Amino acid sequence: MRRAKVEKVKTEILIAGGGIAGLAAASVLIENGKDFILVDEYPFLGGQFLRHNPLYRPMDTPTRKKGFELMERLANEKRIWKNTLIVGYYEETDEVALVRDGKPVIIKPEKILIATGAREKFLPFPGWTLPEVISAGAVQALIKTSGFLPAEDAIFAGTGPFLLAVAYEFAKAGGKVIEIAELNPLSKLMGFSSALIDLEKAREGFKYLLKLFGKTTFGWRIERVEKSGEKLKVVFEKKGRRKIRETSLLAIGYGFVPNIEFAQLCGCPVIYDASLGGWVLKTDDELRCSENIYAAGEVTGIGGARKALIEGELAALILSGKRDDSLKKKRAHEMAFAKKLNSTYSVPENLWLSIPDETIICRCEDVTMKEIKEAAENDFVSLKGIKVATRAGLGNCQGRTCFPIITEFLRAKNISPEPVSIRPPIKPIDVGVFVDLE
Amino acid sequence: MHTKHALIKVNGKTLEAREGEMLAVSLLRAGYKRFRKSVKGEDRSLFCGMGVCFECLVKVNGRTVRACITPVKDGMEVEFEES
Repeated sequence: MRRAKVEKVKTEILIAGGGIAGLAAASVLIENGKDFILVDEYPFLGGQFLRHNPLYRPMDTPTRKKGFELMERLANEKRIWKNTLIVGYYEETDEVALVRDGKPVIIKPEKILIATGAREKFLPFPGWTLPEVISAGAVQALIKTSGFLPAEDAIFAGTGPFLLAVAYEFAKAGGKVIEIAELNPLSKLMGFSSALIDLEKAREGFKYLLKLFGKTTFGWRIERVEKSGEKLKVVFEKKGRRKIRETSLLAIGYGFVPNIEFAQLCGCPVIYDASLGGWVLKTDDELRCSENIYAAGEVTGIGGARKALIEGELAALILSGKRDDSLKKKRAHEMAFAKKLNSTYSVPENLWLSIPDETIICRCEDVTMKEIKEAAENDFVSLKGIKVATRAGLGNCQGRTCFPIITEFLRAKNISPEPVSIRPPIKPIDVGVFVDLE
Repeated sequence: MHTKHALIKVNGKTLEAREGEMLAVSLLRAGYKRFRKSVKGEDRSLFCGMGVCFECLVKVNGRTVRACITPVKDGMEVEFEES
């Protein structure tokens, strides 16, 4: 047994992430004759927004159309590496360690563009770990990518327009939408309608409304979920009133949080801004995080695909030594929309405090809310402290699912935790990668 | 769509799946509903569907992978604890 041979590669710009922001950036860099390598963890390109089966591509909005054009244009681009996981960034040498198709590679870039996207956020309740409870994003991926309807009927619960989008796909694929339970009261959402003075987004909203009319309820939160024979029994609560619904599948989604782990490792400054989705990367108006590191897409604030597309293009133009004031203006418009969106569809603060004790918070280590609360009461008021005291965040997902929940819980208790410091490997890797058994 | 078929082994049983489809989807299609036992012994299945939560960990040819982002390949040997 010896250490595996490591390939070393130099490039001018490393793009981390092959979603719509990363692809838009790659395309602009090609037009400007720049040298780059784009890496993405998945075996497919396009991130979540463009994760469609080739035969299942609704070209219904200008952003989606543009996205698929990018996918086609870049499909055979040799400088785009799929199936490539970033392991770490090493400051001493300015090198990035990766695993490409199961083999270690080191890239030495002059500049880095971080376009690592976002993941879903959850408000847990007893029963959310049952196999029939899955994320809204997973339901969407199953339908869009594989044409697979995970159940005949479903309830969609949580907050945000994304729930409507997924329920719409579910209904279109032949599923029965029992209910869309929007956590926020209608009164809170009314103000948001003014943000829809935007043709692309209004059209999309109207499309959902037509298909799902009468299915949406407001202000109900899930109290708990239990198995009831082959079905799930969902108990909803609203101002002390309760109602019970049966369903085959419960799809949940409470918004998104940026994937900032790689950026943190690169030393990029992060700030907590609830109106941007939580911990986000701090950039200037040219998307610069630090001298040689740039960011684009959801990592600068949860704002959707059109914002990501604009930021990918803008960052790549800046990296090509150009300026584009009209793109900057468009970006400012998208940021304003993002702030409105995240502030409207937020989880009410008191709900983080009323998560029942028996609820599992860390799904990897089965740590309950009771253990988290006890740790917090015993002065473990940082994420690191809670991790050490309870094992929350020590499992395979490395806190990606539970840390955003614990962060919101602590913030609701008027404690402002720092994000946990990140060490390589950013995601678990098979140790076999680093040894050559031949 | 997925026209090419692949024969894989799931816990010793042969399964006809679609080449290139994400393994978790092929397993769900075939009626497997649980992929993993949690620390306290609860059944867990696909949750995030995008490689974040690690709930769909299974073994493929002896290596632990996330089934939701692992494409099916002919001849794959898949193992996990069924409930």
